[in-house]
Amino acid sequence: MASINYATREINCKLVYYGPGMCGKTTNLQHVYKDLTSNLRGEMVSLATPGERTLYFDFLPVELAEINGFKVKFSLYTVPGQVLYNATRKLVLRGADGIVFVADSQWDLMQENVESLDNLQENLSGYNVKLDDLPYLLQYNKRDLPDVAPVWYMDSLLNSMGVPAIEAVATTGDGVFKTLYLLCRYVIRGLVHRFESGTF
Amino acid sequence: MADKTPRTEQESVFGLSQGIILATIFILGALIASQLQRSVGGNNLAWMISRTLPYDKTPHLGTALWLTEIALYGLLTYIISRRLWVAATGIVLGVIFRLVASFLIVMLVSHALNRTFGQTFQLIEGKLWVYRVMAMLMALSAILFPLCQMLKTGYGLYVEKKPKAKPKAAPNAGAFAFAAKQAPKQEYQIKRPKPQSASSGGDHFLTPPEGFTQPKPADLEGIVNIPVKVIYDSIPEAINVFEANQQIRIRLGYFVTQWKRATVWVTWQQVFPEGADNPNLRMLAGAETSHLRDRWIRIPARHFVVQVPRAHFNVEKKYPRWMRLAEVPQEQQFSLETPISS
Repeated sequence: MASINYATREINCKLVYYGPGMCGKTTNLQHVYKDLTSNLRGEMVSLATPGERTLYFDFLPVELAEINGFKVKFSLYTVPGQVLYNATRKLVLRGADGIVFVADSQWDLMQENVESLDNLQENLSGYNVKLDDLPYLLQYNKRDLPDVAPVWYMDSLLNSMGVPAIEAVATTGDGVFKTLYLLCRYVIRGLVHRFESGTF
Repeated sequence: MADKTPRTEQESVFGLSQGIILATIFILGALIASQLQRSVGGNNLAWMISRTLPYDKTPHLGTALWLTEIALYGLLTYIISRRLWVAATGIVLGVIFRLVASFLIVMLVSHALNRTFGQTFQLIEGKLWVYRVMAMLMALSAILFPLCQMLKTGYGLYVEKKPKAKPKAAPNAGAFAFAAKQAPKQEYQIKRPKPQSASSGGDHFLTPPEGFTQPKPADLEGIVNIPVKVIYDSIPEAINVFEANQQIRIRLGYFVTQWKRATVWVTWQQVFPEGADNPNLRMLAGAETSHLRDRWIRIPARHFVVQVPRAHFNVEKKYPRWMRLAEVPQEQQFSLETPISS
């Protein structure tokens, strides 16, 4: 859940990139890191295996907005996608204010996408949170590959809630910022409504 | 995967806990050995047991016991380590532990037998063989429990490799000592093995996963064409029935969908080659293929999705609460067209 530091006039939000292994979560963060100017972002830290697989999580702090004189800092996290690391995924998910579910568009990986989305819901339910409760978006990644499923089919598999789904090619950066900014919009919208209703 | 790694990276294979277990085995053995000196019905328990197979009247009992011991030490070590050279050292270790156990027993029972140390040792190695068996059991227990890990890893020479973190920590990682991420790669490097077909392994027939119901015709009109390769993947024997590159027709109504797995299933009797109009074609119902009638065929989504009316995939959207909140001016800071960045 977002936290407010009145002394420094900062609001800290946590955004988590979730999805199956090798779907491009880390690549999303790398692109954000690469394209944002250094005054808007901190250092990206990562714990990865020698094969460039995320072992624990990637972390990138960014400062992108201001609400009523408060700076809004977003901490971007990725989770390890491999089935083995569920405990880590659950831990990283704790206190998330928004989630990007990165789906791999390749035909052969549809089942992995569905299983990962189920896993996301299961891990959230461990914190008594539903996907209905916090902003989350779908990103259909790797759209540049030749063997990808059509968007409408991926929607039927993964998007029963009708949330925004963005087509992306994380390696080139297509759709990366669109995904991030759209999620930030929904997170900000939620924050402002909570401010106004006095529930913050 | 077991790999040879330098000794410096290995975990301890014999530590305090193993030492405690070893000591416990010897203490327990000594306690049992002293209990065997108890008198039962006027007879010494150890002598009673040993006389069931008199040493001096049973030819080659001593040799048989030694051979049994050596075989057991070697066999047990081989089962644990799966390496012959470790098994050979296991024999040596076993004999050493066995002799140590024997000396311990001799020390405990020589006074009770009213004999010297040497006489008691000779007695234990001969007529009073029950103690010898005790010592052997202690040696076997030592191999099986405290020494097990040491033998399993070939005295620490074979240990499993653990995933290693990158060596250098990012300078600004603060409390975390995480490694700096490398620059993003411009190309995907996917080295993921293709999902294996359950039918590929000999006699194992492909069966639908759990939560599966028997097929019944659905309200879905139309026929889809499936490459024959899909059938082969599930039923390799089909190679004798269909021609290569043939398109196989399946009525949509027979699909048993598993959307959660992006898959549908049909049985053999519901597939029929291009041009045929009846799924129960004579060829398929014939004697040579009748045994295939109830075999399952798994059809990945890619082979049928584009042939099925798109309306079939429409799902009723249940928009979440947070999407129904009214827009606020503050969110306009995020322009979806032009990034804030450079």
